[in-house]
Amino acid sequence: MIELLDPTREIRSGHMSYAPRPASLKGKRVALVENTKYNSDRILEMIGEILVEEYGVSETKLYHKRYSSVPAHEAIINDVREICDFMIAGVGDCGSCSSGSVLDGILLEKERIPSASIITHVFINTGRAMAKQWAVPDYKFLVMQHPIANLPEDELRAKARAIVPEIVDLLLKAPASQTTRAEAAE
Amino acid sequence: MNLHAISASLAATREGLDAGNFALNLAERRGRLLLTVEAKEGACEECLVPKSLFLQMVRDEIAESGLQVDGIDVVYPVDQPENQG
Repeated sequence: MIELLDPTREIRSGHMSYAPRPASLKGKRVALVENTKYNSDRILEMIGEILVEEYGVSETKLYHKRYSSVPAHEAIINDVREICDFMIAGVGDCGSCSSGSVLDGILLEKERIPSASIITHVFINTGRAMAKQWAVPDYKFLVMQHPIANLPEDELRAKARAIVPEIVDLLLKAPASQTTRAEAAE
Repeated sequence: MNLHAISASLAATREGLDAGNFALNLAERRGRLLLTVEAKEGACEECLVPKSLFLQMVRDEIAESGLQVDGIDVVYPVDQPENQG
């Protein structure tokens, strides 16, 4: 039996302020929330290694979602909220997993955890649509070139290296807070 | 209804679908736009977004292109008679 899970909702209005940002990553703990898609865990681990080696992050913890297309389950959210200072979600390498990773970032920001969601470029409109459904149409997520699922180790590492400065920037500098009114979804 | 122009406006959605081995077919049915998502070999059906999200994506893309349609219907592979138990 296939279980159908729909993370969308009908929104008429909403509000989201980005979580307050610390001044640096030094000594902080970073949650890596992988979405089950092939290579997502590897590239997030690579990103985590760079953050530890070059930005002073004290430790990272890798979390595995149950399903790629829905937000991280409650146990992950609770654990991240309790023991982590930042969260990185991804990598959205398909339609539903991109919308799911964007939603992870939105939900963790609402939990006051500075977050960065990563998707691949062919799913930008998917990420935007999910953000719009959650009433934060300008929610900022990060984009890398599609695909990642079939990449060898060295190319994955190059992508990780390339996106780390953007991740650090987003984790330490919140985009302008948003008070938005989204269009009603049909 | 200018299906050619609407099709062009949906390039981003089509690119995403193509990455998951899906095709997007357009037609006009009783004055409404009918979008049929067709699964090709190796299609990742769990990669499709919920229909409500898909509708929002295509509606936004069409509107951003300055086009207007009176209504949109979406058919996913799971909706096809051969895929229903």
